[in-house]
Amino acid sequence: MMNTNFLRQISRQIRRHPLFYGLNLLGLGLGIACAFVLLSYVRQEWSYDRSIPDGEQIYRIGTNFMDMGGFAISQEKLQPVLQEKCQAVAYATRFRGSSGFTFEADQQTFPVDAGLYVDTNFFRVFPYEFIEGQAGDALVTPDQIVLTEEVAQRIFGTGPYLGKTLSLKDEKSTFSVAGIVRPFPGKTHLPAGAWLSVAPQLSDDRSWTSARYYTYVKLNSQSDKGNLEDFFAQLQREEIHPQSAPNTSFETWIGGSQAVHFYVQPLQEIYLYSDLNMDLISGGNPTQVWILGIIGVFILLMAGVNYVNLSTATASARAKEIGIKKTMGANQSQLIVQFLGESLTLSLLAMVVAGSLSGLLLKLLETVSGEVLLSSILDGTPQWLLLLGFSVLTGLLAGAYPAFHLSRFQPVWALKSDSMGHRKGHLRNVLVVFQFSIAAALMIGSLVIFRQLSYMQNSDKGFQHDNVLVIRNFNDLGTKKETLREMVEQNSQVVTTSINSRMPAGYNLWRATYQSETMDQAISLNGFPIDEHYLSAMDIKLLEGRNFSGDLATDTSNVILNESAVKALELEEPIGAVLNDDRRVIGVVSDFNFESFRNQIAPIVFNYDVDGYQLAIKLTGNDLPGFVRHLEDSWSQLAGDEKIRYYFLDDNLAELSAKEAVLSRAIGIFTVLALFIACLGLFGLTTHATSRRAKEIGVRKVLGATVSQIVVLLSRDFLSLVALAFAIGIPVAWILVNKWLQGFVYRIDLNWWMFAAPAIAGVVIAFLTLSYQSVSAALNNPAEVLKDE
Amino acid sequence: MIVLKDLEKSIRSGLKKVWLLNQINLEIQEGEFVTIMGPSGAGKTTLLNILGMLETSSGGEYYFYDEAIHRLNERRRNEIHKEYMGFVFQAYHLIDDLTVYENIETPLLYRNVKSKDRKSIVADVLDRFNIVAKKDLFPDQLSGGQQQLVGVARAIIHKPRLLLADEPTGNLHSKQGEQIMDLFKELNDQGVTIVQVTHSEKNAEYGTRIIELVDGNIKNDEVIREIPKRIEV
Repeated sequence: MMNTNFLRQISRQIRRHPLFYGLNLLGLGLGIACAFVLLSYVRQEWSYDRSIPDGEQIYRIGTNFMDMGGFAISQEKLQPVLQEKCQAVAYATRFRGSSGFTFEADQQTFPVDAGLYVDTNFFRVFPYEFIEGQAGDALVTPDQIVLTEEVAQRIFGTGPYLGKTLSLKDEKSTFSVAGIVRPFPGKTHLPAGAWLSVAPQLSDDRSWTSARYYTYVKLNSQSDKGNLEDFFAQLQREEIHPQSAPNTSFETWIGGSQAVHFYVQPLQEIYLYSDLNMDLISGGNPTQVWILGIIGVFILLMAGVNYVNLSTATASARAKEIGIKKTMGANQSQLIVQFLGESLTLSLLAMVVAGSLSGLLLKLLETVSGEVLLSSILDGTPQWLLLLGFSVLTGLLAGAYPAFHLSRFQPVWALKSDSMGHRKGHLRNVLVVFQFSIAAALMIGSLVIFRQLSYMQNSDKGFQHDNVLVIRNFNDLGTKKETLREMVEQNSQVVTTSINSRMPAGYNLWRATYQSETMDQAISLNGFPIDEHYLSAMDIKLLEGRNFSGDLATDTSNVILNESAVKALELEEPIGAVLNDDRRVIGVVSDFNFESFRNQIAPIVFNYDVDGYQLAIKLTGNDLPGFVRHLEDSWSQLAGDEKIRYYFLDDNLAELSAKEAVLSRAIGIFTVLALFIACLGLFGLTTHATSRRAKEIGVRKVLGATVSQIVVLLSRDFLSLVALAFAIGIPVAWILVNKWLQGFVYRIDLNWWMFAAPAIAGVVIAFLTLSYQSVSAALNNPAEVLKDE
Repeated sequence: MIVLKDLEKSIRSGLKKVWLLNQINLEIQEGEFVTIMGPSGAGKTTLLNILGMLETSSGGEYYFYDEAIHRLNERRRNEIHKEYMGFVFQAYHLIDDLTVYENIETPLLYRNVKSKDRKSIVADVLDRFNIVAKKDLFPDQLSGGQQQLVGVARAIIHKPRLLLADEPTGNLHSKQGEQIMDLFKELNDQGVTIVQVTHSEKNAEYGTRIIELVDGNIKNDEVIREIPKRIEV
């Protein structure tokens, strides 16, 4: 029979010791909330594409050819090759992404922002549940469309929807609904909204060196990733190599820049781990998932430690009760049940606190990090179970030690002794050190991440990027391009303008192969098609030679290199050197960071091209809104309906460090919370310690101790623990931040003050936490304390 | 009921060994009301705790109803303790967070008595001790005498055969002390065996036998009255 007396007892104890239980509840609640939010985030990031049936048999094929880097899209002919020749493949599908559709039905327009152009195998590989229609019948002709139920409802109202028609805005074609599907229940990297037939876009492209389609395969149940990789090895050797480079050996070809490579990516790893170009959605960040997940676990541990510490510290108060109960016939297991019951009750109360805090925390996280890290928190049974699980687990783990420790007391001893709190102080000290070591590592970590972030954002990148506006659809003006440029340049704010096809930080694929006279094989390098104003607009420094000139027609076959390209092309005397296709080097510019600081600055070849598709405008920055108005006016005079699309270069550069910015702010928040939890524990412990030593303090004051001597006496022990914690936390943090920084080619140097400053701050914060209790104890009138002797 | 043969209790104190009890030989019959007296540090409480199985001896033999307690494991000892013994302390040792009612009920909870039975047993005892009106009060709302009354009520709620009392009136003034001793006498008349530790000669006179301990040895053992005939209730 379960004895529920402890429930009554605990509610009375809460009323009797509101501070003790308040601290415990706040600490536990906050800890559970942090862990819950962070691990929900981890769970969400890991959950992508796991609700797709047979997902572990589905793979995506990415490709890399001409050394252009890895792409999530692949060759048009890959799908039929896989379907016909690869034994391991049950179904192969190819499809294209879409930025969204605008549909018209009944003279109304309906934007749908998630859509794909797919083939008839698509619904075999991805078995969406068909509410209306059948997977086999859908999209067999190009005038069919498949919608999700939600989209169909938005467009047509009520069902059944099969056979209803709609059209694409600005196009004559109409489509009839051939299927209504239910999206996969969990998160997925596949957009779901509307599916159209890809058939009209297919062009019978037989090249192995162009890519436009996503290719996914579902393997038959006997096959695995290895079979697929074997197939590609064979395909390279027996088909692609003989077709594309019959005159070179396979080994030379596969190791050179002309090779065609394939990536086999398991479906469930795409979201988190794929870092290929042209991915369907921008993927997750595994480093961030790991870091935040581990922080979540540690914060929960810290909150649990608070509970253990406060429970064992107040053991003396409970000792008498344990002695009595044992004398009354309670055995150890009955007492363990009581104490675990107490900690479970507390942790369930903490769960209520955590539930309400987690929503706030999520809001705070979103506001500060500027990104929706987690789409929902207390949504659905699994999440509630997760929260409940956390709370119960915390209650059991945190309650276990006090339960076994306290219930072991020998009754006689427990009744006699009123100084249990003094005993077993070692464990409490170890746990305090543990907590503050974590807090120390977090403080150092967030400082270093913050410094690296601000280095990435503020350091000299080798070119000027402020006040540069880029019109990305400049080409839409056609013959009026030069007119707009003249209109813009009349504005007094404009320093200069440059027509080009590539800006730093922009997403661009200009690459070409180059070879100097001394090289055996051509290499693939970044191309920057620019006009003669580009270098001055971006303030890129010319080290040698000359800039392009508008007056020299021959400049179209001349190139300018950056320093890295000079090295890559093995040029000793770059100016005047001749590359393949009679390209002559006329200038060398200094290297500049046009990509993320994670990457080494890549070699660049600048070509002269006055017909670029975008216009960069360097401004003085005095009145940006005024200039934007002027620009939009000029544009609409020339372009009519077509809207101008532009961006500021600074915003694009900020994107390069967006992941670090989010991580930095998220860690910042949790560092503050972790420190707060550690201080809550410290506050509780000092409260207990000072009350235990009240008499001693009184006696010392009577004997002539000053207030500051008492404060030092009371703070010394705990402060040395905190100092020890930093001594442990610093090397740990050093190893971790060093490892993190290794991910960056351009990074800050670790400096002693990055460790010293958090350490000093930590000790000061700990001292302030302690001082409230110790100062007020020191100020007490000794007569008050001593009179009830 | 109780037989002690050459019972010893020693503790290590630094490098030395100190004997708290030395070669104790003692027999206690069912129905006796034994008073253990002696100066401070004579080992009275230690003897009481060993009898009550709250402490173990370090040598010698202890038979309780012919069961060799010194050979039993802790679990079995606890069972015997639970079944036969009740304890009264000098400092009452009530649980602060529990009401009078709940304090008295506690021993029944650890003996898995059903809720309905518990209610009637506790109601019975409250009635018998005249503390029904106090049942919802907390210990700190009671006088010392009342607290000890609750302490005794709690000690006998599960009908122990042996009641062990360590200076039960030590914290009470004389009037309250008399009330508790009258209660003990009454319980003894009803057949409960009692062993009490006390300094008070007056309290000793309520009993049937006085054992005097000095330095861990029995110095004197004297029967002062006949064991009362059991009054059935």
